[in-house]
Amino acid sequence: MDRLKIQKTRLGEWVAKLQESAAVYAPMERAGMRCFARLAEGAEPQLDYGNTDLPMKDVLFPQTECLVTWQRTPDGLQVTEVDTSEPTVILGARPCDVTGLNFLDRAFTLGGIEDPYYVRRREKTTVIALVCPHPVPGCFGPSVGVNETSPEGADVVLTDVGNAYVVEVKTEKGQAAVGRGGEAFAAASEEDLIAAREAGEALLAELAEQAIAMDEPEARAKAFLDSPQWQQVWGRCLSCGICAFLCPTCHCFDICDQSCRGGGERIRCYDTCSSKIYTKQAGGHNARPTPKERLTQRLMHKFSYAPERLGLIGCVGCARCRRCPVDIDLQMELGAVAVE
Amino acid sequence: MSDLTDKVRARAKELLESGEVKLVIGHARGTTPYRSRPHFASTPEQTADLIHDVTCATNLAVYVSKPKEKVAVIAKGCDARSLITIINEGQAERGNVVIVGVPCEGKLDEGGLLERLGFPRQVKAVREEGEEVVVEGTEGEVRVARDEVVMPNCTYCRARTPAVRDELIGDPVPAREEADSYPDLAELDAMTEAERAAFWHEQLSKCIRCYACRNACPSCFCPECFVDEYHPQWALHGGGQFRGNWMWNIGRAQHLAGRCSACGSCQRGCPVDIPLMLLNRWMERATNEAFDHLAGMSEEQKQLAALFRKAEAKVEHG
Repeated sequence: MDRLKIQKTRLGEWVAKLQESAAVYAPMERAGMRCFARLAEGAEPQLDYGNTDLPMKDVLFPQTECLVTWQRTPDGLQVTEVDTSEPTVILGARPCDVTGLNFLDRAFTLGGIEDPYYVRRREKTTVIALVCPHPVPGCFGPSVGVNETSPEGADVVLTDVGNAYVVEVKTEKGQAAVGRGGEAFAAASEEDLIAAREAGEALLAELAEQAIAMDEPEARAKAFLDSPQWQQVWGRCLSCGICAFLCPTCHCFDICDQSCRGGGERIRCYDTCSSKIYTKQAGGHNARPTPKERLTQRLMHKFSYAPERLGLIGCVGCARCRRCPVDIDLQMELGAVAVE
Repeated sequence: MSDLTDKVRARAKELLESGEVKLVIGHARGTTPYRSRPHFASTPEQTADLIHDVTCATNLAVYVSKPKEKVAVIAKGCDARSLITIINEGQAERGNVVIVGVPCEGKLDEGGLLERLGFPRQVKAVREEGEEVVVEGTEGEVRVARDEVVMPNCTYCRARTPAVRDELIGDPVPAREEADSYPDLAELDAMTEAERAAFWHEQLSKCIRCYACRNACPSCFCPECFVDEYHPQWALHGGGQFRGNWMWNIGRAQHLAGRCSACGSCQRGCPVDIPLMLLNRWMERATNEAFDHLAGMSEEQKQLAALFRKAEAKVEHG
């Protein structure tokens, strides 16, 4: 397939075409925070950023989603299933977030059981990735196997070469999305392709400085649990949900019914194994009563159970979990631990 | 190594060696030179990792929960206010907590500092010098006025020297004069009610309900938080939706009325940068002006909600 490019000045044209048949989500600023938000018509996506504060996962796996509503009526209880899935294009997804989608794809279809809410959104979604124009401070994607220049799971990959993006079409979905852009695209010249390759190489060279030793993740996780640092780490954990809610691969959820005035809704929302009520049973027993058990679960799920069950490590190197208010950085700890 | 760090280590070591306390809660260096992390020293050897500098922002009172043995806390003014608050509310025996006070002229807002410096790749060290914070990078030093890179609440701190303490390491520093004039609330005050509602609608809609604000707060010690209850369900569950987020955030702030030490831990912890201290300060001003009450400033203080004075009968209720 011929390689294409699109001038940055013509990106809006393409977005407008995509919006004719799909909701387009892109990084946007919202009251001082960056997240993927639905682009209003004519709004400019903000692609030249470090990384979004919130991961891209909530486009496909929303923080809160309504599954079913009910209303008491004179004719009885009226129950309505809610399906808000629609053709969607995600523009400007970073390689870490795209790699996180691969993880969610497997987690939400594990054992042949499909999570319908995730799967129906995923099927209708086209992912247009953007190679990071600048290395994000703290990013260690390559250490956990993220392909930073052509991430698996993307339908199209854009590489910033100054005034234009060089376009790599990876799938049929991607071909269709690019096809909608029509004349906004032009053939990429040999110079463009060289510039794209050099941009990727420069990025990887800079990211190499931030690498973390993450070979043998399971052995590292186990060694860390036996290390003297472990007690300090779980001792200071506040049991909040930052690390899980900002993680592109965390996918635990809670389901609850919320009734009000003869009607109500069944919602599902993010949940986290670090929360102290996560394993609280009816009757009051808690299988993971302290941060020690909870953080053990988090660590082992990401670095041992997930590789075993899904064939993927539960970390994509985005470093968002470093927002931890008490400086818990499991990856740095694993990278530093001595493995025999 | 700073003078204060040396003194903190020496005193912590003494306290553990003499057997006076079983645990010292302080700070150690974090993953970067501009971060610190809570550190627990239960042996004299573990005191070697203690530090005290401009990065030690965590309110350590959050780790004091009904201690059975004596613990010492390396306490800034706000940590001490929180300790007194939770002690007065029955969460710890006063005799089981040694408040080792340290003076504080403000603690670093890491996010703000990094943004200010354009997200530098390599920071080698951060130190205080007079009224400045000096950041040493691979390409030389950058100096910034301290007030511009500390947490906003530090710029109007009324407890830069712990009001209640068992001892003090270092020299006392005076409280900020801005504390009582609430300059931080000026922008909100200037808004109409509708503008304020719109402001909070936008800010609170961002909340992802991670509860870092609650869990980082020493005053939030309820075994079961109202927001986690199902029967009755006080707030809709799940982040990213305004109704439940509003209920949660306003409920949290109200429960802290007269109990907040203005340490800023909630706002510092918030991963989506909601200016939670504005809510807390709004409540503080209300309780301060109506009841002349500031949390944790004296040991004799009673819990505000459990207190009634005759003069209160004259307070007008809107």
